[in-house]
Amino acid sequence: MVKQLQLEQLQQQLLTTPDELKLSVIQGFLCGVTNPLERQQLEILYWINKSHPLPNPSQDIVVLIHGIRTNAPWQEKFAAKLEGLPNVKAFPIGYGYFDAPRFWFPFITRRRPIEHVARQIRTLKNDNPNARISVIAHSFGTYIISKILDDQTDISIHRLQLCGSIISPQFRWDKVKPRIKGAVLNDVGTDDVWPALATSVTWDYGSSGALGFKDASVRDRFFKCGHSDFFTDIHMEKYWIPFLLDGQIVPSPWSSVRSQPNKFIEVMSFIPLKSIGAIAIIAFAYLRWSGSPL
Amino acid sequence: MSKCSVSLDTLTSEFPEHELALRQLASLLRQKGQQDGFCLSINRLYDLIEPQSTTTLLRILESLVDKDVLQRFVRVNSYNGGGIGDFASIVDVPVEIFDARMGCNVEVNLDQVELLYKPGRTEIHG
Repeated sequence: MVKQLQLEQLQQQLLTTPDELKLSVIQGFLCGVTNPLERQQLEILYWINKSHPLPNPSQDIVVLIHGIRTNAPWQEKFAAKLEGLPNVKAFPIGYGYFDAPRFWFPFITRRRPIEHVARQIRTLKNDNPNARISVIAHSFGTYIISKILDDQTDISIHRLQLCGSIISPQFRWDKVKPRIKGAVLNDVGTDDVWPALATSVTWDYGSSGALGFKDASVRDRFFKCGHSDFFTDIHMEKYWIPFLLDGQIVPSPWSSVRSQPNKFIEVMSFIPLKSIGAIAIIAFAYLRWSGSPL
Repeated sequence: MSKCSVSLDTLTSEFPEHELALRQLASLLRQKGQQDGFCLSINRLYDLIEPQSTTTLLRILESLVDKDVLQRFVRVNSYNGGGIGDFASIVDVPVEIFDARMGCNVEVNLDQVELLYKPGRTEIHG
């Protein structure tokens, strides 16, 4: 997007320009913008601001929540892109290195990161009462934000961008939707096996990052990519920034041409390895306890 | 001129937060788009769409122009009323123009110029 700074420079120049010269000043300024798309955007922004000047544009805050087993360098990369835009602040939120056993265990261990992130969002809200807070979350971060929205009813957000989601497709978005002012967008990687594996091997997760939610309250957008392939400059600039800042869901060409989902993903989403494992352990323990020969 | 078409759902799925406004715009274009000389000023579009920010309106208009639902142009108006020249961009507006309504060449000032949108070749259906 064209820099607001350029528009401000132009408006500054016009303040000291006599009326009869204003047209040529604008033309000269626009001719100095070499990128034709930027020039066109700057021209339209000029006209929009001329008819509807916005003296105090609202502040956008974007909270970035990462997944497990990573320190998520994508957060800083995306934050740097957002910080370059006017009236936008980005806050990468971490909860330390979260390992696979704690991710797997369905009780207690998942609570701490959820509570930590909820506290961070509350702090941001208190420090910036008039800002619009949007969230982008990856992998376990999607689970965290879903739990926060489900349980912490004092927290509301502006827009929600998910990628590599492990939220269950049965999640009650209709229940939490009143606290999300804008849209919920789920970027789906059709080659992403991790959500399906997580669904299969432990409880309370889902394959929405590989198969989509197919829910009236969420928009699924499909890409031919894996779990962490979203963190490219192109993806961030073309798909995430327009959504998080302006609510635009730029269509993905893969959404309309994709074929049947990957068989492995389908099967893993369906087979409850966790239940089979649990039954096997219980049966083993029972046989040992009852003294039956194995 | 043959018309293409785009579904309203395509537009609203790109801007779900402005679904109602896009429906109103589609309805307006269906009702009045065929009228000779029908066009929309940026003021009218702003009031219709009620964007949350200027860049949101910019993105919506860019998308509508890309799909040829709307065509953007810059009009030079005569001080006697009415347009005297249409151009693709403000950069293309000449320093001087023949004003048929006054019968003479006039120097163009910024207050004579406005950005307008007219219906494009793509109709919205659905």
